[in-house]
Amino acid sequence: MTDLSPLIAVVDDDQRLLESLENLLESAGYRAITLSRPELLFEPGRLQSVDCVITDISMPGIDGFELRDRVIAARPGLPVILMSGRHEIAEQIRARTPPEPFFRKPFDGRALLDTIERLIASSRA
Amino acid sequence: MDNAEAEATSQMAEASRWYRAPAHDVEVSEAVLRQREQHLQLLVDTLPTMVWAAEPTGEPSYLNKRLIDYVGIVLNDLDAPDRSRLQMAITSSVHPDDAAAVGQALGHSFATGAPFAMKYRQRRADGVYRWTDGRAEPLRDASGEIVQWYGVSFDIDDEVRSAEALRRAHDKLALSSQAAGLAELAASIAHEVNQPLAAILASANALERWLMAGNPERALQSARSIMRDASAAAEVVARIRALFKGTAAARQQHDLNSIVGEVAGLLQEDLQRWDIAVELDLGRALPAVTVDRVQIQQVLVNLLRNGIEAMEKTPRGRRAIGISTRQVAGAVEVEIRDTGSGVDAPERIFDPFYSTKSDGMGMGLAICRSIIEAHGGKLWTKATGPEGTSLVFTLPIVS
Repeated sequence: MTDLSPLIAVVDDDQRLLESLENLLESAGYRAITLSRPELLFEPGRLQSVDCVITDISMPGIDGFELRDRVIAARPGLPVILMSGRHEIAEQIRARTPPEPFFRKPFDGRALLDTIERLIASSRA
Repeated sequence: MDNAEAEATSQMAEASRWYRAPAHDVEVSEAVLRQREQHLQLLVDTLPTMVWAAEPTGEPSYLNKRLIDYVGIVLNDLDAPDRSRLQMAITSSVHPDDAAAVGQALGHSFATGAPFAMKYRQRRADGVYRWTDGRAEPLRDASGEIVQWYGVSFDIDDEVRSAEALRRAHDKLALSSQAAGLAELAASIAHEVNQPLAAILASANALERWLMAGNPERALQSARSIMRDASAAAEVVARIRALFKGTAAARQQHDLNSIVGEVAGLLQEDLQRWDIAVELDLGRALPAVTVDRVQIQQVLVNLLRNGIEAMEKTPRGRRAIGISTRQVAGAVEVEIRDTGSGVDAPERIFDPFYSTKSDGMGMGLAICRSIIEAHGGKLWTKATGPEGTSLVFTLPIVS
């Protein structure tokens, strides 16, 4: 791994999930920072350093939707991937157009990695 | 004599029977009497209700015009060789399902002089049965003897039906909110299980990659994560099972203070992270309670987390949670106070649909309440003023 590999921020209030996603991202050659609280993403300088954000939707305080809006306001074009373990949220999101990057937990790690790769490539294009 | 004329004559005769003129008024001329009768007849027919009169024995002696028009029966129709007018009136105008009860109630009133009041279905002239509120009271002379019975009846069908529709709507609402509660519960459970499953899948995928990349250390680490998270998933399932089973077998005698201490320790990290001061006020030498330790822990964790979340908007210096235990009559009482934003609808927070929280626990106060109630205790909210909420539960003392 070099410092040039993309940096992915993972936001979730479940520590086990943070660890496993960090592991998955590292196994695919990415660098990862894990954040157990959404507000940590907005600490000075942090958002400028990341290439993609993966966030849980159901979190106390700032939820995933608000986090996505704030990220897009601060850094337009930065890929944000939403995830949730709640089926009802998944149904809600899938009904939306245009479709937005979303994964319902549990999800296939390979599919997540493919999406990250595609979104980062198009954000850099 | 045509029919209308016959009826008018008959009604006039009935009217004089309906109105018992005092016997000492003999000097009053017949013309004046007739005029008075006509006046009364008009009054009785104009009253916006159905009126009838009966002999002391209960035999109908008068029906007003509204009643005649409504049931489509005149007094003469009630005359039959083998049955009384009362029997005829009941069989011809009361719903067959209500006839026996009406007959019995009227019979009781006529025999004892007690007022009659009953709601029953009455047959309208068009054959439609409509709910009716019937009432009757006796008129007594100076010696207390019943001279006459007077009765009224109101058509209350619309009111009865709208009340029934309201009740049906209410039942339906209760049922659907119950279903909503279950759906919410199912969603919470799915979320609880999906969290560790997501971690397992991600780690398994990483494991495969580390193996292919020839990194056995990271592969081993991934395998360990999988085992840990799979156990966590199994625990969730066991916990849910325990919640629904609610067996008394798992219950043992415990000191509630020690369970409170454990849970406060368990949440120490959260409490510190949110700068929440914890004030413990534990009653001394509390009697033991027979509880499922894990379930009571779950209740305490939920209530404390609830309090922690309620203080999200409270300034950091003013965040505090107070936990107190004390002995009350036949039970041990635990109170958890926070200095949060309070609740608008204290009872609704126990509704599974209402307590939609976005955190991982997601089990809700509804489950806390069912656990406490399954232990023979109670869980409620206590008003603590404009700021803060107090949740209190009791557990019965072992006798």
